[in-house]
Parts: sequence; structure tokens; C-alpha cells
Amino acid sequence: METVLNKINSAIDYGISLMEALCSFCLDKLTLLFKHAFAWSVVIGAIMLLLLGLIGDPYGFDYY
Amino acid sequence: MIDLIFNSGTLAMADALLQGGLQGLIVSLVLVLFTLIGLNFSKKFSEANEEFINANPTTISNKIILQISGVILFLAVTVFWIASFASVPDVAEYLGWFAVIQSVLTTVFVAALLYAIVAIYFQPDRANLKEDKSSSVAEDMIGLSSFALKIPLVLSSFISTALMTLGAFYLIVAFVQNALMSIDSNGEFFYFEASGANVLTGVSYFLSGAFAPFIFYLLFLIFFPVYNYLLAILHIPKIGK
Repeated sequence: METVLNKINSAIDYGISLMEALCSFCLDKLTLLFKHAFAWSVVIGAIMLLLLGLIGDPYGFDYY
Repeated sequence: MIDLIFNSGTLAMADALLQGGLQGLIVSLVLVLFTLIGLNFSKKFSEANEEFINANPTTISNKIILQISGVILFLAVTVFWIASFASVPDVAEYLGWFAVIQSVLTTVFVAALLYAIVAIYFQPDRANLKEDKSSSVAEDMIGLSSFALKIPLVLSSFISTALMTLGAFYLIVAFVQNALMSIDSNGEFFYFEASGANVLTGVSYFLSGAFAPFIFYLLFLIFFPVYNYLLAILHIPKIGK
């Protein structure tokens, strides 16, 4: 029975190490992506703001 | 009260922006100017944030509590994206395909972002939280409670860019919705009730992203000295030993 429990523990530990690996992967890849995306986000966001300001909302502003 | 004023201000700003024409253009120019000023501040504060982290080490006797917190947060993020995907049929039925695409893309992005933030719990060294077997319980408590303050500081540039990207995405969606509604002026094919909300969300994320490192710096500056005082008190008995 102890062997079974040990195996379950090992499986859970493996699951935790997978979680850790996935989180690190997300952090590394997103950091890399954001390095390239930062300038694009600023420029696109600014252009969209200007365009939205120009055309406005055809049906008038409604938050809901 | 502050919340009410902030909300009223944001709503008034979005209302003015969406009037269109000269008024809308002036408001959007002011917002772009604010964003650029925020980015200038943030660039300077990002370096200061790194220096803050390096200058404020904390210790913990065992990292296991952080690892378990990381696992719990990981599971919470997993529940979040599963629940979001489970609601896709309802979104499709009530809000249409456009909202589904927006919802799915936002969920994937936010889930990846949250997983990335959880990574710090598995690598506390990044926040200058070191394992030290001689760390006392009080030092552990300080290390743990100050960790929540250190995470935004460590990831200040990361969170800033993430918020700006999310804001730009919402603004693109709002622009496409408004452009489609402008073309189809009878509202025969395209009518998006949530375009105003998308503008509001997009502008809020965009501006928050621009000022995020500056805000995180201020929060750290205001709240971290409490932990410094507590650490100083704990070091008094060690003086002269």
C-alpha cells in the first residue's frame, strides 16, 4: 500500500513540475512577445483612439 | 466617492470621445498625449522598480508555501478559462459571433498572462526573496506578505505592456464595430450594443498600462517601509552578536 501512495505522490509531484514548466514557458514567451509588441501596441492603440474620436459612435454612446 | 468621481469622469470622457467630429478628435488627441506622457514616466520608473527589488531582499525559511500558493493559483486560473470557454455558447446565442471571437481571444490572452504571473510563485528569487534556513517565523511572515507587493514591481514592464496590448485590442474591436455600424446605417446587419463598453474598457486598459510602472512604484514606496521597520526591529537583538 505504501508503494501505491508513493507512486501517487510522485505523480502529483510530476503534475506540479509540469505546472511550473507551463507557467515559466508562458512568462518567457510572453516576455519575448511583449518586447516586440510594445511599440506596435502603442502605435495601434493611439491610431485606434484617433479614428474612434473621428468617427464616433453612430448610435450615440451607451455604456451597456 | 472617489470611485464615483472616477467612473463619472471616465464615462464623460468616453461620451465626449464618441461624439465624433472635432470634439472627438480633440479628446482622442488629449488621451494619446496622456498615454505618451505616461509611457515616458513609466520608462524611467521601470529602472527604479528594478533597483527597488535589488535593494530590498527578504528571506523565507522554506519555499514550500509559495509553491503550494502557486499550485492553488494555477488551478484557479485553469478554472477561470474553462468557465469562460463553457460560457461561449451563451455568448454566441445572446451577443453573436463577434463577441465570441472577442471573448475567446481575451480569455486565452488573460489566462496566459495569469499563468505567467503565477510563475513568480515558483521562482521567488526573481522577486529577491531568498531561501534562508536561519530565517525566523517573523521574517518568513514579512517575506510572504511583502511578496504580493514585490510581484507587480518585478513584472511592472510586463504588466504595463500586457495592459496596453489588451487595451489596443479592445479599441480595435470597438473601432471595427463602429465602422461596421457606420457603413450599415440602418442597423440591418450590424448592431453591436457593447461598442461603448469596449471603448471604455480599451481606454481604461490603455491608460492604466501607460501609467502602471509609475503606480506600482508609488504603491511599493508607500507600503514597503512598514516591512522595513519590522525587519529593523527584528535585527535589534542580533546587533553585537
